[in-house]
Amino acid sequence: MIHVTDELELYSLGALAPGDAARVTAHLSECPACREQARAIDEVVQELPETLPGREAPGRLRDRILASARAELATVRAPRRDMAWTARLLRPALVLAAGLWLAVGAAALVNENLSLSNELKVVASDRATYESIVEGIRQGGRWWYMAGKDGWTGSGGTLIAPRAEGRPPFVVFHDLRPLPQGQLYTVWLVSSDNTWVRGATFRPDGKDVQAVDVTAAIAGFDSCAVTIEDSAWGRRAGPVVMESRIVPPAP
Amino acid sequence: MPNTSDQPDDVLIVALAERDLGALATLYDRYGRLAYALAYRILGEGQAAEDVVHDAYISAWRGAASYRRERGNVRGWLMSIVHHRAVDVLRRKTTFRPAPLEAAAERAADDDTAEAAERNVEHQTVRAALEGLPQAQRRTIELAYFGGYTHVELAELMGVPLGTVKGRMRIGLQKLRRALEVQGTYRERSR
Repeated sequence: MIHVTDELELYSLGALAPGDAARVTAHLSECPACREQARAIDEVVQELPETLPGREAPGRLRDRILASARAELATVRAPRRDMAWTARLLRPALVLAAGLWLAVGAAALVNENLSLSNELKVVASDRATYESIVEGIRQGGRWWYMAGKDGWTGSGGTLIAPRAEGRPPFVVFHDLRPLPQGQLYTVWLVSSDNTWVRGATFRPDGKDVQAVDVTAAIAGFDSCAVTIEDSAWGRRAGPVVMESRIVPPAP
Repeated sequence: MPNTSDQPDDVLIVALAERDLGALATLYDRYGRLAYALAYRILGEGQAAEDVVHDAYISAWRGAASYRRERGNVRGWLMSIVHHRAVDVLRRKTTFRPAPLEAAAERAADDDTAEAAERNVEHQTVRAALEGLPQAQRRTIELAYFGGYTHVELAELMGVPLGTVKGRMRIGLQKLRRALEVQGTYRERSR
């Protein structure tokens, strides 16, 4: 085992390139000695924000955060009413979406007509569970299907960028594998210079279908991916289990 | 929402993992200002800082179950999320690199409130410890942490070898730790 003590200050200050940071993260996950040193350095680095002059956050920010959390809470709770029944109906639509994606090829990755929207509307229009999904894509948009790979074959997720004003992008996953305690699915947006930006972090809810909002705008990114991570923050360290190009790149 | 304003952070983080909106609100009230100051310092722009803090808190809301007490306190955990997100955003932009700390402090002084000034007094020992470092060490740490520069970029920017950048960071952080310990301000900040 090669220890990373020489890089811990760089790591803690965020001064390592993404690939090196991922290597250090991986090492820390299995080396208690380096982890203890990293924790001691982190203690000092975490004091640095205290050196900043006070700055009042906009008053609306608190409301905005709580509104987002409340909306997510509603989205998570609603499917539990009759999820199994709805999921059985919805899964064919998602499979159809994947099939359509394969059939029309790369040129149709940008699907302005969003036949997926119609399919979803047919099967889910009377279900509150998917009202937000249907509403999000009712006015069209773009979507990209991320197929599961390796141990995640059979799983997948459709990244949807609704055209509707103010609607954030989101991913509709199907057949997500359960994860061990402490591990998280993480959605990433990846730019051409291989910068990975975290878009969502979540635990699988055990249902066949799960919708997850993406907090980063997709404009400017070339691809999207899903990894398994041990932490809800920091740089990518875990394996890629799903991915797709965003072709052509979002404007 | 239940009243959680007096709860310690360790209780709040458990409640957050159980999707308690009150816990989220309390953690924002407790650390939102610091989070915004950090994001603003890194990005230099209000709207982008607001977006980063929003995303960071929602990320914490979703990922509270992954929080591990042994890796640091809640305040540090939240600030780490804010820092990583802000630097991610910064590195995707090419037009802005923040000025050193003293310039940022001057900019902020105009719109500081009395409450902010009071808070600044509370934390002036930390700032004094940082400002007590030799300039090269302080600047290297600031440019890495607040400026989002990698050590390779810093070596180029400052015209010194990579080893010098690493050494300045290591010695600077060691001195900072000792200074904070001597001043008795090195403490558990989370409530």
